[in-house]
Amino acid sequence: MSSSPASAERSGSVGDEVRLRFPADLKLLMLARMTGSAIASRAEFSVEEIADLHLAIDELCTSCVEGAQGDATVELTFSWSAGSVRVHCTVDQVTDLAPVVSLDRDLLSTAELSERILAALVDHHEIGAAVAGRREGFFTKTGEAKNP
Amino acid sequence: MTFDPDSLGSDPILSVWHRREQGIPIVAARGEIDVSSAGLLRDALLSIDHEPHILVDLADVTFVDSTGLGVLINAQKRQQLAHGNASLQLCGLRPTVQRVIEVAGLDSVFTVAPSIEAALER
Repeated sequence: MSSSPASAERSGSVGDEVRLRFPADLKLLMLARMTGSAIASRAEFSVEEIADLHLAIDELCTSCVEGAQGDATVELTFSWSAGSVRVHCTVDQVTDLAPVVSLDRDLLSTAELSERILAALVDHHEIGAAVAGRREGFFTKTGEAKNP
Repeated sequence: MTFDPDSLGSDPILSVWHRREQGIPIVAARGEIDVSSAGLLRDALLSIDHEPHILVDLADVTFVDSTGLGVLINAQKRQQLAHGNASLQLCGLRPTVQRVIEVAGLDSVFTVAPSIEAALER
């Protein structure tokens, strides 16, 4: 893993956007969750919606970082307006791993659980396969204030 | 109720302990269970999966993701295969953890008790 420190930059005051880039160290995913919670608060999400966004960001990052190599980097872009948040995740230096297939049809794989959780929590999400060593995913979530 | 010093491991976001009450093994966790920390809980549960009944104290767990749920599902499945019934019980779930179980559609999968004390009274 790269030892470069996590960094955050804020650009613009209208159509707010924050970018967070850090080494693809699983122990740093909590930074993504914490940043997401702060941004959800700024987007006027309710306490429950903030908790949901917190979880959705974790699931997005966990899925995107799968197969990341030692020097891979995660870049997250948070875009928001009142009542709406979009999170885009890019991980470089990744390879697609063979899907984990459960031998027991009653036993869900972690990937299936993650997909189920994301589908329940956000309006729309997509997580792509690794292309040229790079995987991208995103979701959008609208809060109750915008979607009564 | 206090943790005994039988710590099974910790990392920056999760600590896991083992204790026994009324002869029942209890795995207690404190912190966040995500892809980086779930291995601690998995190892703790694997170390006692020969036991017919296990309580998992999640009262101090503030976050669980799909990886954590996967660990719990697999532990429960091992219990069912080894002992013939669902003998792994989750105790003291915070609303945020209960919410994850619900959105994953697993609320009918796990046996849940409001607390360790309540589980031991059953």
